[in-house]
Amino acid sequence: VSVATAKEVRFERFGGLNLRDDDIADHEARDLLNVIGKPRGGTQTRDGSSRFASAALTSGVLPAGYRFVDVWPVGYQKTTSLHSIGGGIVNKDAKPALFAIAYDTAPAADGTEPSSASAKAITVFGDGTVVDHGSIVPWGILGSEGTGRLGVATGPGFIFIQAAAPLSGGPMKIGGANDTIQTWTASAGSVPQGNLLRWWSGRMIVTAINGQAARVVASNIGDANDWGTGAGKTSWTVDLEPGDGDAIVGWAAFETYLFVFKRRRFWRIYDGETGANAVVAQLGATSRFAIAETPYGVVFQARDYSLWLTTGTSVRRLSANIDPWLNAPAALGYADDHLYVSVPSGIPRTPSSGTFDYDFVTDEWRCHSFVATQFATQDFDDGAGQKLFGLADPSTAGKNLVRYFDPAVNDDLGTAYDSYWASPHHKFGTEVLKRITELRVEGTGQVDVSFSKERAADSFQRSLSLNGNWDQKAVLTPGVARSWGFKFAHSGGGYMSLDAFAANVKAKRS
Amino acid sequence: MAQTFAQLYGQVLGDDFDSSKYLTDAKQAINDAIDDIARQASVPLLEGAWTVPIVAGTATYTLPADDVRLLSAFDAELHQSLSESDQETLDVSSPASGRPTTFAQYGGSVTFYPTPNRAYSVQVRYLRDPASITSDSADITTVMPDSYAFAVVAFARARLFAREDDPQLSAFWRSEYERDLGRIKGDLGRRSRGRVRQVPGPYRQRLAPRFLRP
Repeated sequence: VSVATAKEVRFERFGGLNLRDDDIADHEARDLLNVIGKPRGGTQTRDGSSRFASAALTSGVLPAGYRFVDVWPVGYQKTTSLHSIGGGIVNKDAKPALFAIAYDTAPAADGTEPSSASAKAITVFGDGTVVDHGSIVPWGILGSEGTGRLGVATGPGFIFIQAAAPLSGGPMKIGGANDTIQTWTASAGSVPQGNLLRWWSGRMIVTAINGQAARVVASNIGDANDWGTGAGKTSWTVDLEPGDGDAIVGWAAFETYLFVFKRRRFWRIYDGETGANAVVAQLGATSRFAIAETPYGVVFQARDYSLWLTTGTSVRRLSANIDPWLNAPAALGYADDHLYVSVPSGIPRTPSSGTFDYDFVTDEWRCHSFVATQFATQDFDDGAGQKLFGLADPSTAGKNLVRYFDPAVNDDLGTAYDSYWASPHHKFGTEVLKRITELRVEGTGQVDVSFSKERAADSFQRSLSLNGNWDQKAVLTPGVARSWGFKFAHSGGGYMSLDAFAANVKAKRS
Repeated sequence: MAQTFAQLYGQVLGDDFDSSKYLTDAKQAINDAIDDIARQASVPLLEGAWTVPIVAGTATYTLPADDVRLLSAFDAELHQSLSESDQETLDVSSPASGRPTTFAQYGGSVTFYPTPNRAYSVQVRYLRDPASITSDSADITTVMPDSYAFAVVAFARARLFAREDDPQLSAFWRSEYERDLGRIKGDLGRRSRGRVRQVPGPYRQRLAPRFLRP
């Protein structure tokens, strides 16, 4: 936008982050925190985070000193028998739920489950009620890639767990008439012990197997207990480039493909009947948490921490606009057209940790201050759509199963957070001195307006109180500069909501 | 109701200037406007009188600190005006002492000639420099009538718009100021509306009764 004579320059879009400053568009942000996009281009402070089901968990279900270290969404098939749990009717009808494992010991620094600890398995429903499945013994040391990971999958009628069992020492499953923890016994063959398992293409698939870092094994169709081979059996085993020095670290499903990731490349298994597969790209994933399934494809974090989206036939870089700030292994999650990428460190600003938020609809990145070590998404069929859950700080004991973007709160677990959106440095044409006589802001809430002149640090100018559902207020005579950056911030509780801002710009007369 | 300083600079800033940036400038501009009006129009509240503490043998006296310019001096004993001269004229006059008949203003002092030979009663009238207003609650009627406040606001806004690179609005407010200043001059330039200002003609007659020899 060039300004030859005095004119009002209006901006109605508050876009996403673009850290490639030379390419930044007028509507993009050079910095932002804790804001989300509004449907018509505005922005507003995001909703807060709350401890999920903390009231139910407090009543003796989760002993003091325990913390959740793993969480998975589980579907309808699990919960048909839960009505008899706990001596009363918990859930007569099948419902989606979250399944989580809590330990009395902190996980290792890399998030690995503790090898010697007491653990409990718990199912949490959308209304906050919980079912205590009792104690389990964690997986223990397997001595291969993916050491110590706990495998959990939802299969027909059960939640299947690859854990050292308190009963018989083999793989376990939860379900049955009394929803108990029981031995996962093979009806034919033997259940392979691997750190990753999932129900896909009508079979139980297991990988990250001890001593077989490249192997993927599938049960016979329709039966997670039948691992028999030979005549009349359709179970299969494939090895993805064994001996390449790499190991399978994670996987994800999209359309008819199952993607299996090592650290340096990944494959698509395109035939669930045989395990037939092909390499997709010479890119791998950093961990099993750094892979997310979305309706648009599978997103994964490569070894250089960049994010990629694959459909099995194409791979494209998703994180170009935030790569300068993406400097740590991430945990990925997906809910309602948004991808969430949580990093514990490496962002070169305060706070240095946070969660990046990619909007598939608008192709924009934003960033929030909360951090999760894992995400899980569940739609509880309560009319509220998909909800995003995660685990916050498993190193500290507590009921750390968190719901993010909870519209009922505007703090993160009781701690207030700030939010802001900062525009690019506008030159309004050529790099000559321009005077702005007024900056008008439209929206609602308490907004602190700052200016960045000549790309210097933002300087606070004035707080505006925008009242009601819509209001407009102006910051007067901010002065003269060659380039102008505008920052709109909200501190503490409450929120701001911005629809537009407009600057009265004219050339300075010398 | 008389307007306060805060009300005046509130009008100056209006919806156009950020108070955190221009408040100091607005206050200064208001004080400058009052000074400017005082220079160009004889604002009664900004005129002063001073009895010179004359002592024998001293010709030069320091003027009051708020003096801008002497308007007149008169001998209160003889009820006669003293003539105004310039310092250079007095410098070259022969030294003399006696009853002062002439005065000259120079360098913050007033000098009388001849040098007084005793304590005479001489009063001077002078244009006063108004004290700067600083208190928000200060009332403008302490320096000028409230009805002239708009001229002060116009002067200050013209200056602030000039600072904001807005020549159009600056010129507009300057013209508003000039118009009001003209009205103020008109008000104050004619102190007595009842005073006869008829220019005497060549056939004028004496106003006093005539006494003719019988």
